[in-house]
Amino acid sequence: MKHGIAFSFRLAALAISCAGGVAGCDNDFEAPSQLDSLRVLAVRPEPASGRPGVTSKLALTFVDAQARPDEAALHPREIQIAWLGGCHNPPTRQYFGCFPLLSQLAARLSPRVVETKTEGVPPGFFATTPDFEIPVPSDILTKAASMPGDPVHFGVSYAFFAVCAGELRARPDFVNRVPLDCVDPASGAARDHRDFVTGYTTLYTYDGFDNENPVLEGLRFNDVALDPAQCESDDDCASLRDAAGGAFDVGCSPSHQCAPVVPPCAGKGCPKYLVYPEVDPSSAERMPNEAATEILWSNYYTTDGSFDADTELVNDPASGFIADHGSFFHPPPYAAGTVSLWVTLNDQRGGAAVGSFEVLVR
Amino acid sequence: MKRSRLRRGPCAALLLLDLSLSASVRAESLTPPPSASVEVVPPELTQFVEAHYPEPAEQQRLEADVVLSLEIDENGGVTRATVVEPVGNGFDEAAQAAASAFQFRPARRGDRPIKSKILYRYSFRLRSAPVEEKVTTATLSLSVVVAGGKVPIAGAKVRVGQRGRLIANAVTDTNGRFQLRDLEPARYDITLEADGFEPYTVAETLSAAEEAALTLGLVEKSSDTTVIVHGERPTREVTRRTISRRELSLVPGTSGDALRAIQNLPGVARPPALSGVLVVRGSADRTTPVFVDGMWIANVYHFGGLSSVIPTEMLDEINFYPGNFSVRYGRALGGVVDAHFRETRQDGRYHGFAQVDLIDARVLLEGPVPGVSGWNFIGAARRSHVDAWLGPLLNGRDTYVAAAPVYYDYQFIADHRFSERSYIRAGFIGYDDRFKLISKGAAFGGQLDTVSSTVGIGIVYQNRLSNKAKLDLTFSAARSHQHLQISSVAFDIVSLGMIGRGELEYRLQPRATLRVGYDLLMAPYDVTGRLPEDAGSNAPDVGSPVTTPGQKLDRDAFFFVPAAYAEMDMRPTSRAQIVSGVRYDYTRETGRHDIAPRLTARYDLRSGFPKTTLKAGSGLFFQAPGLIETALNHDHSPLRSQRSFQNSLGVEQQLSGQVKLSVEGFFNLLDNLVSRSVDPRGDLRYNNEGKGRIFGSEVMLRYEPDDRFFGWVSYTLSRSERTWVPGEPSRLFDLDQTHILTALGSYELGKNWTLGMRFRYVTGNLFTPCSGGLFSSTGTSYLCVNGPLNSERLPPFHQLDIRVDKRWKFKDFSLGAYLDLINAYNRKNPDLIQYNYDFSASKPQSASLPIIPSLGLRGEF
Repeated sequence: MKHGIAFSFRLAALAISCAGGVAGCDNDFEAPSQLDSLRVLAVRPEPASGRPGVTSKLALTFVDAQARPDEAALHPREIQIAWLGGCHNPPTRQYFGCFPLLSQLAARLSPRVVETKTEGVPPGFFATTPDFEIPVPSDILTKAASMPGDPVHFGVSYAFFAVCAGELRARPDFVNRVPLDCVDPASGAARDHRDFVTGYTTLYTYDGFDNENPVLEGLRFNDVALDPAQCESDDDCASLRDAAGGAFDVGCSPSHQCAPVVPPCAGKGCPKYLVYPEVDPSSAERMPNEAATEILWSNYYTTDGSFDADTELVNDPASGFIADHGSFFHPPPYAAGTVSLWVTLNDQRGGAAVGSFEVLVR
Repeated sequence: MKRSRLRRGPCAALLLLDLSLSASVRAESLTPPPSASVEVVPPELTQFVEAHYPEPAEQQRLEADVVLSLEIDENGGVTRATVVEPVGNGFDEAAQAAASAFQFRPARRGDRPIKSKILYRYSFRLRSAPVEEKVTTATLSLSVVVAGGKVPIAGAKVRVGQRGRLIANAVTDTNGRFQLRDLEPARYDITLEADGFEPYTVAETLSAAEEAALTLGLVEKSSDTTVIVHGERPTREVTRRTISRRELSLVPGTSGDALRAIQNLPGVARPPALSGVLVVRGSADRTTPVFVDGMWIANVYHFGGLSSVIPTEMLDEINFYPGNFSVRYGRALGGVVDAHFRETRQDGRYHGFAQVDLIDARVLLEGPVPGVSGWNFIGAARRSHVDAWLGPLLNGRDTYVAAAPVYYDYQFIADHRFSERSYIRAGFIGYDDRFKLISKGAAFGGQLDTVSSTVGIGIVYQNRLSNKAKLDLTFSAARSHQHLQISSVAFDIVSLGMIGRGELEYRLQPRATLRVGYDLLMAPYDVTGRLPEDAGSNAPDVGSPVTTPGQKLDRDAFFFVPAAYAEMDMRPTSRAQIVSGVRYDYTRETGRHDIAPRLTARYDLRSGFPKTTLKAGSGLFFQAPGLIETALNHDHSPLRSQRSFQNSLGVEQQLSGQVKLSVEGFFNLLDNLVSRSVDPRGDLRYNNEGKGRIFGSEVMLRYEPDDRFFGWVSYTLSRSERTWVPGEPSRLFDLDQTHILTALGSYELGKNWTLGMRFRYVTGNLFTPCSGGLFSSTGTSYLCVNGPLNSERLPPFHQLDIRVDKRWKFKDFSLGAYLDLINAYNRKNPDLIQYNYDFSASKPQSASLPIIPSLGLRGEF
């Protein structure tokens, strides 16, 4: 039996040694902020926590960054999506307690998943759209396990998704994972992680408490608030250009958005640009029956170039709100054209907000 | 000061070696005469063999002395035994046969062993007098050696007095021996003096017919590598591995840290990186308790396992029991480490040292307690200074070190010997580790804050009530505070642990000794916190603990575990020893009563040289569930104590006077292990459904310390399996390590230079590979999709450590320096598998230290 506290101390020691470079915990893997494949960035529930008898809507944000945005706009790949749900208060309260149910559900799907007829399927069990609805059972709290150590009584619902740049196939024989597979429609060969993402989202229903999604009030680029104005030419972006005050140029992107223009740069001494999500500190709500506020963090993604930090803490239960939560963007060393930047703001109970903008590297 | 007491039983008097003959023993080298500048050291008898008393002579109540001429080769074996003065009646043949099996430390010219020839008188004495003639006098035999070893001190001045009257004034012979016969029963004062050694005075009370044999060790002046050993305690366990302080302080790769040196013994696994936990014979961590003077040291090592919380200089030897230990110890499924503070020097002077190395700085002062006659003290303190360089190293844009890692510890003991029979030691210790860091580069970041702090007092009282009875009492109390906060995970425990131990030993008969004792642990504690929910044994990855609702802890309770035990130590023959005992434990938290019968046996297949001993043990061992499990177990049915049925069988073979081989097999069955699985209602519950088995073998080839060298090779082959959920197949335990090989040695080169090396080879740790990733939108990160549990291993670990010590001696003080080159060939030993963000790529990663030259300086007086 693992001893949690001892393990935590060990983890802390390891983290410290790695942070200090003492143990040589170097990481030369590709940064998670680098988007160059099919990726799921967030699932935003609305409302952010379940309510007995009320349907919550889940919105999936994904990016197919296999091709550069300019090309993707011209030749987007066909992406198939499937949701599997209907799992409430599973054994152990953990996501893996749903796997037996999912396996049964997969057995009722068409082998080609998107061909499954949705007529007659109860709501909340299956969908093939980016959005998914979970009707939270009215008895979810009364049927939820009650553990004396719980800070608050709660029920939990899970929804599983698969996003595939190919063809989704049902695999009821997968008993310990999401029972879906992604294959090449022509050859039937399995797609790898660059073309296939499976995952889940958790929807907590608290007894007497609600969670709200964190509020992303806007995005700033090099301390300039971005204006998502539509444009036909660079001349239509005068207001953003004026706001930038010469800190960067502004142009009209192929998707008709006013976007910062930055030069490509290689080597040392290149300029970097602070990407800063504007967050209302009150987004960090107090945890149910606890003195601490919830943890908020932001994730940064880009289709080209890089970020200083992939993740930045926005609110810490002990330290409180952290104003310095932006991350610096480094343009690529070549004229990449349109680069998509994404920022997600998340709370520890599943709440999320998503923002994005484009940067023209030319 | 070494003082070893060995008493001969009445039966041993039959063939008591006449030490007074030593004066007539001479060494005759068969090789060319040495040059005048090279000293010739005569041979020393290391293995005496008892002769068969000729039956006709015994029937006729005959006694005799046979003078033999013994030729001894370079290995110390007797190549020829010739009777010089025949006495007949079968005595000559019996003495000749026995002496042919003697083993000596060979004579030496300088450092080179040489052949020699000596005269030896073998005395045959009847077991008891034919007429009931009451013996009214006593015999005192002294053997004076250099403390910490077996090197005799020849020419030491011995003065024996009684109430101010000088009884004898002599010097020890070439073997460091001296004998005084026909002494009246009384208390005698014995004073020893030798050039280069601290003088020593001891009182000894002799009773009528007593044949007291004392081994007394003299401490070298300005020495820091001496060991104080209070006699050889009778072995009560199948295997007791003892490391002397000299060995502890010189083992390469440990920076002289005593408790880290234990990790080089057979059966001890290489701990996970930066943890320093003790994993013994495939058992889990925290199942091998460490006691110092009876005080349970919960956190043995300072942060990251850099050093232990008790400095080596404060300790006597350390005894390590890898399994099948005596009923004196309990609450442990693995082994036991039993260390003791050393006795203070009693030369009336002050000693001390100051030392600094890359990790910490320490001071120690020792001497008489001012104004209190007969009391001496040792006080020591240590503080790390890694905060001076590690703090700035950790600071960065996303990381801020609010309190750099720092530890300190301190100890103070004072002792007093009321008489030769009673002794008391009291003192206090404290240790403290702190570290606070704020990282904002990760969701599971935030504030990392750790505090581990303990302050305790302890007292030890020993009284030899009579020649048959001995009483040991210890009591300790320690307040401990453990705090951990990482992001929203927090844990705080404040406890006041009190341990009281007492043992009465009584010799019922010459061959039967009874021991009874109690062992009380009381600990009121208050635990609060918020921990991630334990997802269950064998559970898949659940991701960041901050995104799942935590379990609140708030418990104010009283941990009370009283125990009592009784043990009978019987020696039915001179070759056999059987120790049987039973221990009773009660755990108030769970309401469980545990009864643990245990049996160990040793039998000398050959009592003469080379000695061969068979040993075996079997018994039950219990350990109550951990505090976390107990605190989080909200079920109405309390958990049972975890149980281990330990069995071992082995053999010890003496290969020479210095070299011994030990081979031992073990087989342990575990059950009632605390597990966590889904009950029929679908809820996660703690239960006792875990089972396991551990089997393996240990080999240790050891060269006992002499004046220049010590070392050993240890090898462990083992397999440790567990089943956490009924019906599931057994699988390898997380900490299973198939092969563990350690070879180390330390050699004094001369001119106060010492060179040591240690090489270790350990099978790579198990890990569960990730076959892919599952994205959790709640944590915005991927989770590992587990492949088969513990199905793969990291590459093997191997490492070479080299240590060089140099001392400079001056009139009143000495300086020392050491260089401990850890990981000399800079092997990047993998400690974990690192994955990329979606678990589609991986590579081994080292969390161990790269090549580290640890330099230390030390001055002492």
